[in-house]
Amino acid sequence: MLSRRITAALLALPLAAGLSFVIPSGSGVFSGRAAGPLFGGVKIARADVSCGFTTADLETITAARAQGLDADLAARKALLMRTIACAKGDAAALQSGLAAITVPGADASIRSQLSGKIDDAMTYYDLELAKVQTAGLSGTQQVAQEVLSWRQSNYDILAAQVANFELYESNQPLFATANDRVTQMQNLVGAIQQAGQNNDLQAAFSNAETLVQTANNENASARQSLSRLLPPDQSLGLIKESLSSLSDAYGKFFDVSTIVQGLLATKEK
Amino acid sequence: MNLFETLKQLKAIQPDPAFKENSRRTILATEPAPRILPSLKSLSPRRLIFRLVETGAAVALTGFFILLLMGGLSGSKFAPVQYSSIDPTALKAEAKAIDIQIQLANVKYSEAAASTAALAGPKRPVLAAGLMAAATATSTEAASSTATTTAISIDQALQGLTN
Repeated sequence: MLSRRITAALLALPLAAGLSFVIPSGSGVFSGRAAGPLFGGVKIARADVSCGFTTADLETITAARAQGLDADLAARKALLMRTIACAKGDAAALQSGLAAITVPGADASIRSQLSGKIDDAMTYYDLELAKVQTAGLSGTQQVAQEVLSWRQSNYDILAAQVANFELYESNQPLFATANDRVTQMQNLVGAIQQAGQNNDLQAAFSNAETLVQTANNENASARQSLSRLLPPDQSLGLIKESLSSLSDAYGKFFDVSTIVQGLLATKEK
Repeated sequence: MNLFETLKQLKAIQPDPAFKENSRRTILATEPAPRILPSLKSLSPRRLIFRLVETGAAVALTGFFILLLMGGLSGSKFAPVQYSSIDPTALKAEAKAIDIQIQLANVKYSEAAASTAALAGPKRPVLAAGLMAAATATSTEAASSTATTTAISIDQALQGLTN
C-alpha cells in the first residue's frame, strides 16, 4: 500500500516540478517544458514523460481508489497532468509541422492565423494544468471533462484545419503545372489549327481548358474557406472537388495528346 | 662592373634641360582632340530621341535574349510551340501525382466524416482527422480490469479520468 502511494507521488512529482520532457507524439517526438511557471518553475532533472497511454494507466487509478482518497487523488492528478501536458505537446508538434510547410507569401496570413489558434490552445492547456494543482477529487473529474469537451469542439477542428491547409499547399505545384500545360497546349493547338482546322482537337482542348479553369476556381474557394477558418469538412470538400476537376482535365489532356500524335503520324506518311 | 651598380647609375639619368623645356612647350601647345561622342546639349531634339530609342531598343533586345536563354517564356503565350507538352509519359506522371493527392484527400475526408459522426454519439472512440496521432485503441471503455494492456488515446485517458 505504501509503495503504491509512493508510486503515485512519484508520478505527480515530475510534472508538478515543471521539468523538461520529451514526448513521442503522433508522427514524431517533441520536447518542451511542461508549463514551468505554472508549476513553480522549479527545474529538477530532465526526465522523459511518456505519452503512450495504455489501459494500465487507468488501472492505476482503479487500484489507487481502493487505497483511499489521498492515493486516488494523487494518482488522478498525476495522470491528468501527464495527459494535459501531452495534449499541449501535441499542439506544439502541430505548430512545428505548420511552420515547416512551404508557403507562398500570399498564404502566410492563413498560417499565422492557424498558428495563433494553436497558441490559444496551448494557453488553454496551461490554464487547465493550473486548475489541476488545486483541484480535489471531483475537481480533477471536472477538469478532465472540460478538457475532453474542449478538445472535441475546438482542438480537433483546429488540427483538421491545419491538415487541410497542409494538403492545400501541397496541391499548389500541381495546379501550377496544369496551368502551364494549358498554355503550352494552347500554342501547339493554335499552330496546328492554323495549318488546318480540326474540330476534335479544338473540342478536346476547350474541354481541358474549361476543366482547369473550374479546378482553379474551386482551388480559390478552398483557399478562401481556409482563410476564413470555415468548418474543416467544407474546406476539405472544396479541395477534393478541385483535385477531381484537375484529374478530369488531365483526361482531356490525354485526348489532345492522342489527337495531335495521330495528326503528326498522318503527316509523316 | 657589377650589374647592380650599373642599374643604380641608370636611375640617376636626367634629360637635357633644354630638351625638357622644349618638349613641355610642344605638348602644351597642342590642341585637345575633338570629342568622339557629342554632348547631349549639342544634339538636336530629333537626334536625341533617336539616340534614346536606339539605347532603349538595345537594352530591351538584350533583356529579351537573356529571358529566352533562361526559359522565362515557357508557360507564356509567346513561348515557342512545344511538342513535349503532349508527351504522354509526362502527362501520366502528373496525372498520377494528382491521383495520389486525391487519395490523400479521401483519407482525410473519411476521417473527418468519422469524427463528425462520433461527435454526435455519447462516446467518441477516435480522435479527429488531422495531424494528431490516430488512436490505436479499440476499446472505448475508460478502465479495464483485464490483464492485457491496450494503447489508448489522450481523449480516452481523459474520458477515463471523468469517472
